[in-house]
Order: sequence, then C-alpha cells, then structure tokens
Amino acid sequence: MWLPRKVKEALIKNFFLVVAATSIFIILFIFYFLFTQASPAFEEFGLNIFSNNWSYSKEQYGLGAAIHGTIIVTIGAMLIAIPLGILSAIFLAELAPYRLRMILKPIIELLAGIPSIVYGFIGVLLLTRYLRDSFDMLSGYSYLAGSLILGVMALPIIISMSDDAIKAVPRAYKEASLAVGATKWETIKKITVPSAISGISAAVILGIGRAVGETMEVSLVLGNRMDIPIPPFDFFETTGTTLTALIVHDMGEAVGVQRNALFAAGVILFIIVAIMSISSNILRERIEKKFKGD
Amino acid sequence: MRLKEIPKSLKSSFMGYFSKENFEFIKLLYLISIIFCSIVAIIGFFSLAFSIYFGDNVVRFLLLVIALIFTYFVYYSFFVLKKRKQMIGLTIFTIIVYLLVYLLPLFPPKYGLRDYDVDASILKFVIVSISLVIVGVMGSSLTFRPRYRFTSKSKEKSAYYILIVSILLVLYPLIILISSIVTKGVGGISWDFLTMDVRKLGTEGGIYPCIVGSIFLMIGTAIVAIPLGVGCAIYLQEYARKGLITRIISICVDILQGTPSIVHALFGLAFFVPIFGISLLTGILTLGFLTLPIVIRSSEEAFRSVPQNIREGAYAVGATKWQAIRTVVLPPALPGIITGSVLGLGRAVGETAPIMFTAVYFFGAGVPNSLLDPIHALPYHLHELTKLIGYKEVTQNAWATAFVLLAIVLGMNAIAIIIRERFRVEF
Amino acid sequence: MAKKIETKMNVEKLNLWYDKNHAVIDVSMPVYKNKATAIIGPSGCGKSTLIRCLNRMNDIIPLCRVKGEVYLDKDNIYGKKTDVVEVRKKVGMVFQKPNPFPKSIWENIAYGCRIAGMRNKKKLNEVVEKSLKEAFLWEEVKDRLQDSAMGLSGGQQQRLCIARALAINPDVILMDEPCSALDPIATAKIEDLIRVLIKNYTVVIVTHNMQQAARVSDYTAYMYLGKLIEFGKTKQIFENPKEESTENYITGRFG
Repeated sequence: MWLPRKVKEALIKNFFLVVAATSIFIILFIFYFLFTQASPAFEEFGLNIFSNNWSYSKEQYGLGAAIHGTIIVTIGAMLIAIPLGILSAIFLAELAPYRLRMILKPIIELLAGIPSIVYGFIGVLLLTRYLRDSFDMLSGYSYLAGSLILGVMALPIIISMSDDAIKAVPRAYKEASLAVGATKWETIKKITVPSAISGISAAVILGIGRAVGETMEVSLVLGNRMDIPIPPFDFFETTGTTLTALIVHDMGEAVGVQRNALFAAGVILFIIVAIMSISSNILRERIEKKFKGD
Repeated sequence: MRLKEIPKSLKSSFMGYFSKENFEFIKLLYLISIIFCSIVAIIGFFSLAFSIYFGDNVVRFLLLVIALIFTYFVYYSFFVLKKRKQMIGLTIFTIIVYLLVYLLPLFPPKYGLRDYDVDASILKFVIVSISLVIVGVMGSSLTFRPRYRFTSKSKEKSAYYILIVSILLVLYPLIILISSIVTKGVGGISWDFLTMDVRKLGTEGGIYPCIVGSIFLMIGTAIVAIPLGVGCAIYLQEYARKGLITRIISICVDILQGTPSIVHALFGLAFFVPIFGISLLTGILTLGFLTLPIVIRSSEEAFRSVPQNIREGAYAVGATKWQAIRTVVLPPALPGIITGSVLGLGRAVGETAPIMFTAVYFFGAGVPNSLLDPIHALPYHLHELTKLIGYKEVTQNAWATAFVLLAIVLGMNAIAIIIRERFRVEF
Repeated sequence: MAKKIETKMNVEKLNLWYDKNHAVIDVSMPVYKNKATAIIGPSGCGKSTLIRCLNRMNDIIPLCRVKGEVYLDKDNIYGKKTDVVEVRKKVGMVFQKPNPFPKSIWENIAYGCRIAGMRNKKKLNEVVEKSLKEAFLWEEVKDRLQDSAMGLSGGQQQRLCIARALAINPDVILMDEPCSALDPIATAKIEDLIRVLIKNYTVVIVTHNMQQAARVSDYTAYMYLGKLIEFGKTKQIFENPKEESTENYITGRFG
C-alpha cells in the first residue's frame, strides 16, 4: 500500500479497536433488547413478577415458581458437582501421574463438549426410567432427575478450572512445605488448596452460572408444571420448572404480556449469570495479583 | 511408580506375604481388607446402577466379613499398635457395620413416602446398595490408618483412596452416556437415514436436511465469529494499553461468555427475527454471538503464549507493530486460535435453544436455498423427537440422531485437541 | 597517523522514568564510531535501561517517560519527527536471552530484509550468507538453512541473533548482556566476534562481567544508581579510575 507508514499503522490499530469495541456493543444490544421486551411485564406486575402467581386464564404471570425451581435444581446440582469436582481436580492436579493426566484431561474436556440436548435425551430415556424403578416414582420427571444430570454437566467446568488453579500454585510454596517435613497430602490440604482457593471459588461460581443458565436438559427432564411443590424441597415432585425451561416451553406461542413476562425471566437470568461472571473474573484477578506480587 | 510397574510390585508384595521370613499376618489382612472392601463397594455400586439385588443374606454376609476384619483391626490397634486415641474412628465404624448386619432384615422392602406428600418410596435395595458402597469405600479408606500406623502417611493414603473414588464416579456417567448412544444409535444409521428427508414427524425417513442445516450453521458461524473474535483478541493483547477500555471490553466478553444460550435465543428472537425472519441467517448471527467470546478468549491465550522477547526481536530489526504481529506473533499463535475456534464451533453445532425460535422448523423446511430460508438442524430435531417419545415410534431414530450429533461434536472436539497437541510451538 | 575518532551517537542529558522510578539520571556520553563501548555497573544501576534507549526499545514499556536527547549522527532519535522504525533499522540489538523466531535459520536472517521490502530471492540468499559469515556461523549451518532455528544450541542461537541484526546493515549494534546465558566457550566466540565486528560497525555492549569489558571494549562507561559516574578509555578506567566509586566497583568491593 502506498500510504505513509505511520498512517497505515494508525489505521490498522484503529480498525482493530473498532472490532474489539463490537463486543461492548453486542452486550449493550442484548441488554437493551431484552429490557425493552421485558419492561411491559415489569410495569404491569411490579414486584409481583416474583410471586408464585402464574395463571394463563387470569393473565397473571408471576415467576416465583420458576425462580424457586432454578434455585432448587441448582442447589441439587452443586451438591453433586462441588465435592466431586474439587476432589477430582485435586486428583488430577496432584496425584495423577503425568501419563494418566494427559489421558484424563482431554476426557474431561470431552465431557464438557457434550451438547445439553444429548444429556436431556439420555435423561428422558435412561434416567427417568431408572428413577421410576429405584424410587417408585410415577413418572421419574422431577427435580432429582434435573439435578443429577445438571450436576454432571457442571462437573467439567469445576474440574477444569480448579485443576488449573491448583496447578498454578507456585512450586516454591509446595517445596517449602515438603522441606519442613510435611507429607504430600498435608501440603495439599494445608498449602496448595488454600492457595488455590480463589481459583477454585471462581470455578465453582462459573459452574453455578452454567447450572442456572442450562436450558435444554432441564426442560426435557423436569415435570414442568408452573408451581412450587409441596413440600418446597421435594426433589421427587413432578411439579416444578426453571426459568430456562419455562421460556423454552412457552415462548413458541406466547403473545402480549405473557411474552413480556418470559423476556423478564430472560432478564433475570442474564443478570444472575452476569453477576456470577463478574465475580468469577474479580476472583481470578485477585489470584494473579497474589502470585505476581510475590 | 509407573503404571506398568504396579502389577509387578503388587505381585512381589503379595509374594512377600507368603515367604517364611517376612510373613506377617496383619499385613496380609490389610491387603485383603482393602481389596475386599473395594469389591464390596463395586458390588454395591453395580447393584445400585443396574437395579440388581443380591438378597439380604448375601449383603449381610459381606458386611459381616468386613465387621469381623475390622474387629481384628480394632484389637490390633489397641493392643499391638497401642494407638488408643486414634482408633476411635475405626471402632465407631466397626460398631456401625455390626448394627447394619443386625438390623438389615428389619427394614421393610419399601417405605412409602406418599403419606408425606412425597411422590416416591424408599426402596430397600437402594438404601442397601448405597450402604454397601459407603461401607466399602470407608472400609478401604480406614484400613490405611492402622496399615501405616496412624501416622500422617496413613491419612494421606486414606485421602488418596477417596480421591480415586471421586474421579471414578466422575467418569461413570460419561461411560454410560457414550456407550449407550453408541450401542443403541449405531443400529439406526444407514445410508438411507443419512440421505433421506424427514418424514412423518421423524418416525420415518432420515435426517439429511438436519445434517445440511447444521453444517450451514457451522460454516456461517465460523465466518461471523472467527474474524471478529481474532480481531478483538489482537486488539486486546497487542495494541491496547492496560486501561479502563480494556477492562470494560474484558468484562463484556466475560458476560457474553457466561450468557445462557436461552438468553441468546431471546435476543435473536427480539432483534434478528423481525429483520430477517426465521431463517438460516438469523440462526447464524445468533450462534455467531454465542461463539464469539470463546474465540476471543482462546485467541487471547494463544497470543499471550508468544513470549515478549520474540516481539522485541522483530522490533529490533525494524519491524512495525503490524508487521511484527503478522509475521512473528500470529504464526505460532495459529494452532491455539484454530483449536479454540473448532471447540467453539463444536459447541455451536450442539446448541438447541439459540436456533429454536430463530431458524428451525421441525418439518417443512427442507434444504435451504438462500440465507433467508428456515432450516432443519440436528439438535432441534433430537429435541423434538425426544418430546415425541412415548407418543410415537421415534425411539430408534432418536438414538441414531443422538449418535450422529454426538459423533460430529465429539469429532470436532477431538480434532481441536489433536491440533493443539501436534502443532504446539514450544518456546 | 592516528585516524580521527568520529562520534556515531551522542547521549545528552538523558533522563528516564519507569512510572515514579527515576531509572536513568542525567546521563551524557558519546559513542565512538567503529569502536566497542562497554557499559558496566552493579545490578540495577540502569545500564540495560540506558542501552535500550539507544534504539528506543523502551518505548514499548508502558509508563515509561524519557527526557533528553540521543543523537545518531546528527539526528535526535527522540525528536518529534523521528520515525522510530527507521532508527531501529540503523541501530540493531542483540538481547540477553537469545530470541530466534520459531522459523527456519534462513527465514530468521532474511526476516529484516523482507519486511523492509526486499523480494529478490537471489539477493536474500546473498544477504543470508554474508550475515552468517560475519557472525562466524556460516560453516556450522550452511547445510541446514531450512532447519528450525530453535534446534540450535544457545551459543549458536545467539550468533544467529547477531547475524539477524547484521542482515539489515545497521550502523550500530547494541548488545544487552549477550553472553550471560551462554557457556564460556560460546562466550569466547562472541567476544572474538565483537573485536572483528568493530571494523565495520559500532558496538555498544552492556556487561556485568568486568573482565569481559576489559577484554572486548575500547571505551567503558561506569554507571551506578542511574547516574553515569565515569566514562573513558577502557585502559584508563581499569588501571587508573578517577572516581572512588569506580575504583570500588572495579576492585570488587561491591557489586
């Protein structure tokens, strides 16, 4: 190109700046469009949008039951994913010999790549039948089914990021501990894992974010009645749905205020997951500062 | 210890137990206990997983053996090792196992919870299987305590056993999932299946338009997400000063990455559908925004892995910034960028929600002729088939569809990983 | 008859700040043409920072502020109208840790010429051969120019980096502790190389090894805590230092 070099370089730099700025614009767009579609619902119902008052005939659209469902299913999933995930990450990072780790890590990544619809499919075909047999349930579609699979889906994120966090602990810390006569496990328990706790927390938060936002699997495997089960912590009830499943089920034919309410559900989801992502980011930055400062 | 050497060392320690000079009954018992408890755990696990019940008496026998072994351990720890305080856990465990043996026949086979408004019953064999697993795992783990004389090394071995159990539990669902899809799906695959149109709500015919639709979506998403993503990464890593703007962009990318797919779907519905209708283009744009942050993050990683002194080497010979990026930073970063992109595309291919309201029909769409036509896609097809299970004869086709989808997604992931390993540039 | 000593570069009242840290304080010194000038001093005295000013390599470090002038022939390289890329083509640099590009040996050497626009394959081959010969590396690699540069030993990689710098025909070659990552034999080869290079080029070398400075350079600058304490002919600095600080460093009382 015949342009003077300085001009050319400045043009290139600004070109990339514009490209990078599009990601800001995308987020703003998403926010804007979601809100404009959701605001009629907020206006109409105000805080009642959070109540458990969902009725098509009465044109009442309170999301309380769906919020309850999201919380329950996420808690159930985390009960499985957090202990198993962190323990497996410790195994992967500290205990597994090099060859084994090189095999297992890609396998975990494989687990992460399985589409959620496939989990839903397996859930319907295999898990519900199993739950019917094992727990004498009527249909098997329940929070229990949703949580079990959701837990498995959140595992790869937690394992992968926690493994990275544990591996990132500087060798100097571990060597110092071993040099004072601690066993490897004592070092792991008292030095390595506490040092990695920010990264592990970041991993857990991101896992929760994934669980909250998960759509297809829960929509297929839950009972999908828009109500809070009695008792509220009943994992076996067929009643129950999550924000995500609700949107998937009703969006096809929703019009008017119902549609706005579904967008409101989307906004709530967006905000929850955005908060999770930002917290996770802040935690990870804290790690960088902690280790670089040393 | 190398993996290959473990059988040899096991064999030699086993032989050691039988040699006259070195024979110690207690060491043999430790070994037996660990193996036996592990077997009990596995029996319990399989009984739970496959709903097989071996009968009260078998279970009681197994538990009794464990209880007896541990009684000996308690005695040994108390009188020989003389670790009075540390063996409390051991003692409690032994007592619990005895209680289980004693109380097992007293449990009713089924305890209904329907009176408590819970739609389930506690089946005896479930409780018993779970107990077997727990007893087996705890037993093995606890055996290490006296084995290593209740020192810190013993706690270490105990803990390691639990860690191994964890990773096995994690692998189990993966194995079940893949094996069942492969075994049940392969049967439905045929040349006809892959090349015929969707017929009769998916009960007959094939998935050809779904495969075509998914491929078009993937190509379109690549065109949208990869240039935009790599460009953004170049700016963030190479040009930008670490300031407010980069932080804001970084946070936005994080939020975008975490955004649930259903929210992307809503956005596509609200923004693109009014403009382009339900079409391939809408689907591509929606999926593109979903894939963008993945490409950005992995490209950033790739650029970050090029050490700074390589760039300095280029500057020192009179290269401009862009020349340096183009000739010396981009080439070694390319495998990382490609890996990330392929992984991102693999995810895009498997996504259902973003295309559900924006691009796909279950029947009637066929192969698209233009960007503005609606399409079929594999994940959505599977979704609809799953909903029809029980009402129509779609099960076989559903397994086959799942197989095709899984094969494509896992195939792409595998390619990405292979690219990363083969073409990695070591500095 | 003594040849007139020309000044190739001149540093005048140079100051540099890394954020709040005043790393180079009021340094003024000449760099004589076709001579080797060594910059010595204890760790952290600012010698690396100073040499990186001579080809404006510090520009890429954020929060770096420079005041003062550095003249290359008659032009201030920190002037407002100066094209930094052109400066770097005239003032080349070899770094402490060898940094060959992950490309073939041939591509490494040809790199500088290609980005400057040279396309003719024949000319490029000539340049590659000439540079490798000047860097005493040709015999060792002439049969494997297409092999990856990353496969060379540390000493060979550093000579490759020198050849790469020579390929664009600079006037000055800056060397920032070029031997500190190398073994003694590789070091000796490079020291010999420097004595040969000054016939055609001007060399500035930063080193923490005083014996090396004494062996290799004609002029020496001694820095301490960011200031230039003493500058003069190497013989004079080492045998008859004027400043007490210089003498303390030379005789090993600190640093």
